[in-house]
Amino acid sequence: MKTLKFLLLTAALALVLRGAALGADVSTHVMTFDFQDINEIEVTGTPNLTIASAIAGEQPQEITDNSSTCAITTNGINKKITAKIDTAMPAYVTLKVNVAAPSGSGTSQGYVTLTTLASNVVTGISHVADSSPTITYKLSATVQAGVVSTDTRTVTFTVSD
Amino acid sequence: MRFSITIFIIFLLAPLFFASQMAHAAISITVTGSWVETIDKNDLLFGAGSDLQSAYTSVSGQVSIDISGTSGASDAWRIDIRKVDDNWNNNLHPYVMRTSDGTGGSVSGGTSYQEVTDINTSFFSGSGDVTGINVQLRLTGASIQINPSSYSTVIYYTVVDIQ
Repeated sequence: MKTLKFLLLTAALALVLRGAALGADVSTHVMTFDFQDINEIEVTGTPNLTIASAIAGEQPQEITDNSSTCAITTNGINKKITAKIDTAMPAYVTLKVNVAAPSGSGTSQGYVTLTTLASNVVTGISHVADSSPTITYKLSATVQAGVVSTDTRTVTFTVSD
Repeated sequence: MRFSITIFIIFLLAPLFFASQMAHAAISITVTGSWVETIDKNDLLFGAGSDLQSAYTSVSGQVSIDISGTSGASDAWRIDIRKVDDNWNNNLHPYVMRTSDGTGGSVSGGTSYQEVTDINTSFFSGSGDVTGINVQLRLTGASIQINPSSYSTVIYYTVVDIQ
């Protein structure tokens, strides 16, 4: 009787295990998404700054222009915007720039004097997309500059680590 | 007497055992293909100042599935899917959708996008051997909030013989 029970149990178990073993199979594929560094900035505006007046007894009046904006997108962390000009300003003439921080991220450095070396204008930018930060330029000169003919400068903005 | 009963039982169970093997033939699934997508500045919606497009869709037949080893056209099966993450971001959501019937037996279901989660869920079902069932893949949840990196997950397709 024990042999009979053993045979029945073994047969039933074999059927169950066999069914389970043959009843399923697995295959796979991989999905990979390569998120690359994105650090894009685009500037709009061609400001004109003319110093043409002064109060008697004082230095010429500085001029500001806030007609420019920049659009920035970065998926990085703790990025910064730097700015520089292509050629140095004439003696006794100073060009400064103030770039507003993108919405919700970063710190503006306020007015920064532009030189041919890159200077930080906004720091601490992380994961941001904003198309509206204002760029304000300020042009100033002292009387030592004398009369300076019209000239142009190209300002380059860069998003970097 | 006992020996005779034993022999009798063996002869009684043997056909049942082999019949079971036939019913549960070694059904097999083969998935061919993969999907690698590079997401960069060209995927910004409107250039600088805008976010990434959130959804990405593969071509229709990015992945192909073959079912074989069934016991015949009436041998029914079901495909379950799940994912096992390698390096993944939980803001990302992978989807699959069946875009063709393949050739051979029959298939049904799975013709709308279905999210793949960590838990096995039914994708579509069918019967008999079928080859060339095309599957389209989709990803949602991409944004600039996701750190630059390579994110990867493995999609598991399990064919279950439900005959």
